[in-house]
Amino acid sequence: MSVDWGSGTELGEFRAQVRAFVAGHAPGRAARAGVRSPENAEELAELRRWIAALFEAGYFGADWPVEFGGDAGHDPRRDVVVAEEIARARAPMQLGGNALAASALIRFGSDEQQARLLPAIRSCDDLWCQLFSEPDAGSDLGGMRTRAVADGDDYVVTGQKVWTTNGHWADRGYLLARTDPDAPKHKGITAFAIDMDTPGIDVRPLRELTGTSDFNEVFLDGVRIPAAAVIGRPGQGWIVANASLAEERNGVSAAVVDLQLAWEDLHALAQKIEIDGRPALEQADVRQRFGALRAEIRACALLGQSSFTRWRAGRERVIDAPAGKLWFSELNLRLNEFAVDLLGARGILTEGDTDAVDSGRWQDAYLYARAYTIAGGSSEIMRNLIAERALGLPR
Amino acid sequence: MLLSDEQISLADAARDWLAKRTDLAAARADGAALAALYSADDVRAAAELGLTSLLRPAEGGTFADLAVVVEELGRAGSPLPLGQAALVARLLDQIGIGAAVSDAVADGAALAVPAAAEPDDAAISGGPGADGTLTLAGRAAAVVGGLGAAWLLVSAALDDDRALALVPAASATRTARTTLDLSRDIAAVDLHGVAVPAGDWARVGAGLAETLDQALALIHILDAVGAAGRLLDMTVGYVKEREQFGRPVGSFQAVKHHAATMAVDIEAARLCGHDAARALDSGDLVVAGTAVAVAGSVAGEGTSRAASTALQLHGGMGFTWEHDLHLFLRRIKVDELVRGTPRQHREHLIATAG
Ligand SMILES: Cc1cc2nc3c(=O)[nH]c(=O)nc-3n(C[C@H](O)[C@H](O)[C@H](O)COP(=O)(O)OP(=O)(O)OC[C@H]3O[C@@H](n4cnc5c(N)ncnc54)[C@H](O)[C@@H]3O)c2cc1C
Repeated sequence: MSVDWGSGTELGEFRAQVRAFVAGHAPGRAARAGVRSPENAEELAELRRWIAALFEAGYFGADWPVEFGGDAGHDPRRDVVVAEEIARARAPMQLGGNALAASALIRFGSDEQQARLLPAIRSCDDLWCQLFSEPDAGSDLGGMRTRAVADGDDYVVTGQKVWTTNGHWADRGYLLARTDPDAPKHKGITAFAIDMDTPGIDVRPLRELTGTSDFNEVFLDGVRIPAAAVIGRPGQGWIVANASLAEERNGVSAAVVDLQLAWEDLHALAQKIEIDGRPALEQADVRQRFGALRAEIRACALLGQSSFTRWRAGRERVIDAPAGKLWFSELNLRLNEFAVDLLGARGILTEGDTDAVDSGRWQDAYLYARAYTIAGGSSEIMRNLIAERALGLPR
Repeated sequence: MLLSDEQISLADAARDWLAKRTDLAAARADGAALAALYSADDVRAAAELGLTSLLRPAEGGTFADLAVVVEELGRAGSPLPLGQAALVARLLDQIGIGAAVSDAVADGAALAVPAAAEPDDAAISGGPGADGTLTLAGRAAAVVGGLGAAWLLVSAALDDDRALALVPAASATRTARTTLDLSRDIAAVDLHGVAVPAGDWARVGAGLAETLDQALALIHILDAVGAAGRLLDMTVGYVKEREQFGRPVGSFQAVKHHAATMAVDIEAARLCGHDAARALDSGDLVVAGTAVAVAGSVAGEGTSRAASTALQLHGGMGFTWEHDLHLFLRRIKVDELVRGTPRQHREHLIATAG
C-alpha cells in the first residue's frame, strides 16, 4: 500500500539518484528508534564508511565552503531530499555532534581549525560529541559550571558534562566551558574543539532506559587544551553554540519520513492483528486514530516545509522551529504509544521475546519517544519560548 | 469512601515491610532470572504479615483490604504476586478443593497464582474424562508470577460451564516472557495435555470464573495506581529539589500544572479502583463488572499518562536505566495492557449500558 502524503515530486531526478545511492551503500544495521550509538566496533566502522561515502558523493557537505568540498551552486532543498531519503531507508543520519561541530567551525573556526578538522569530518575519521549539558545545567545551559582557566598558551578545563551522546566513541568534543566567571551568565562561556583522548578526560557510559548505551558522563579533570582550540573568540561561546544549533534544519523533514513509515507499517499491522475477531483496522475508534495521525503527520510536514521556506526567504519567525519540534516530538510519542496499546496484551512483549510483534520495535520507540520531548529544549521550554518570544506574553 | 483505621495500619505495615524487602536494583540486573527477584523467605515473611491469607473467607478478608495491599505492592515495585496468591487461596476455600495448597499459600510455604487466557485470546478448555480426570488444552499468555509459583489455578471452559483446576506449575510448559516490565516475572503457560485428577478441579458457575477475571483485572488496576502514586511522590520530590534558572523547576507553572494533572489522574484512578474492590465485596457480579470496567478505563490511561509526565519532568535524569523511574513506567504500561485493556473495559461499559 502506498499512501499519498502530499509530498511533492520536487527535485525528482536528484531524489531518485540519492535513493539509489542509499540503497547501495547504507549499512544494514538493525534500526532502532531515535539517535542511537553503534553497539560495537564493527557497527562504528560501518557507520564511518557510510558517512564518508555520503560526503564523497556530495550528498553531505554540499553547503560547505567550496575549498572544503562544498558546491558553489548548492540548492539547500537538496539537503532536505538527502535527509528524507536516508530516513526512508531507515539508515543512520549524519551524526548530530559532527553536524554541529562542522557548522560551528565553518562559521567561527580559524583557518587552521578548518583545514585540520573539516577534512576529518568529511572522511568521518573524526566522530564528535556535544559537550554542552551538565548535571546542573540542562534547560538552563547558561548555568554551566565547567571552568576553562587560561594558563599561558593553554586552558585548563575542570568540570563535568552529562548526557553526551556518542561520547564513548568520540574522537573529538565540541565543548562549552566558562572562561569568565565574573561576566554575566551567557557572556562568560567559550566554545572549544577538543581531542577526547587528552589526559584528564574520563568518559563513563550511561545506559538509557531503553537498555542501550548511547549517552555518557564526561569528567574533565585538569584537562590541558591549547588556546588554539577556542572556536570563535573567548566569551563568544553562547553565540557560537546557538548559531550551530539553529542550523539543524533538516531534522523535521527526516522526522516526518520516520513518522510516515511508522504510520504505514502500523496501518499494515492493524489489518493483520485482530480485535474482537475482526481486523483492528475495522474498528471505528482505531480508524479514527489512524485518520487523525495521518492528518497530524501531514501537518508536521507542512510545519517543517514552512519553516524551511521562510528561512530561505529570510522571513524566519520565532515560532517556526519550536512549533515544528513540539509538534513532531509529541506526535511521535502519541503514535508510538498508540502502537503499543493497539497490540493489547501482546504489546507488553519486547525485543528478545519470540512472540514480540516486529521484534519489539514499537516498545523501543515508545520508551525512546520522551528523548525527543526532553532533549534539545524540552516541550516546556519550547512552549515558554513560543509564549514569551513569539506571542509576547509577559515573562 | 475513606479507608478504615485497620486498612490504614495494614497499608502502613505493608509499605514498611515492602520498602525493606524490595530490591529494585535486582530488576535492572542483566539477564536476571525474574523468578529469582524474590526468595522463599520473602514469601514466608509476607504470609506471616497475613498478606497471602487476606482474602480467605475464614479470615473475613475483603477485596477492599486486598486493594490496600496491592496498591502498596505497586508502589514498592514488588516482584511478589501476593494479590494473585491471596485470590487463589480464597477461591480454593470457596470451591472446596486443594485445602492443603490453600493452607500452604496462607502459611507462605508455597505460591499459587491464577492462570487464565488473556481476554482477547481463546479460552483454555477442559475435557472431562470417564475417570474424573480433566484434561486441559490452551494457553495463558501472560501469567504474572507464573515462573516463581509452585501451583497454578487454571480457569478453563468446560461445556457451557467453567472449571477451576489446581495444577502443579511444573506440569505446565512455562516460558519466561521478555516484557516491558522488569520488576515482575511473567510467563506464558501452555497447558496442553495437562491432566488434572478428580478432586483437584471443580466445575464452577460462570459467576465464579467471572469473579476471578474481575479480581485479576482489579489487581492490575490497583498495582498501577500504587506505582503511579510512587512516581508522583518521586516527581514532586524531584522538581522541588531540582534547580534551573536559579529556582526549583517545580516553581514554574508549567511544571506545577503537570504535577497537578498527575495527582488528579491518580486520585480518580485510585477512587475507581477502591470502588471496584468494594463492588467485588458486594457479591453482585453486575455491579462489580461495571465498577471494574470503570476503573480499568479510567486508571489504565490515567496512570500511563501520569508515568509519561513523570518521565518528562525528570528530564535527562529520568531517561537513565539506573533511575527507578522507568521500572514503574514499564510496570504501569503492562498493568494497563494485561487482564483487560482500557478498550475492552470500555466495550464492557457500552455493552452493558442497556
Ligand atoms: C537521549 C538524550 C540525549 C542527549 N544528548 C545530549 C548530548 O549529546 N549533548 C548534550 O550536551 N546534551 C544532551 N542531552 C541533554 C538534553 O539537552 C537535556 O536533557 C535537556 O536540555 C534538559 O535538561 P535536563 O535533563 O537537565 O532537565 P531540566 O532542565 O532539569 O528539566 C527538568 C524538567 O523541568 C522542566 N523545566 C526546566 N526549566 C523550565 C522552565 N523554565 N519552565 C518550565 N519547565 C521547565 C523541563 O521541561 C523538564 O520537564 C541529551 C538528552 C537526552 C534525553
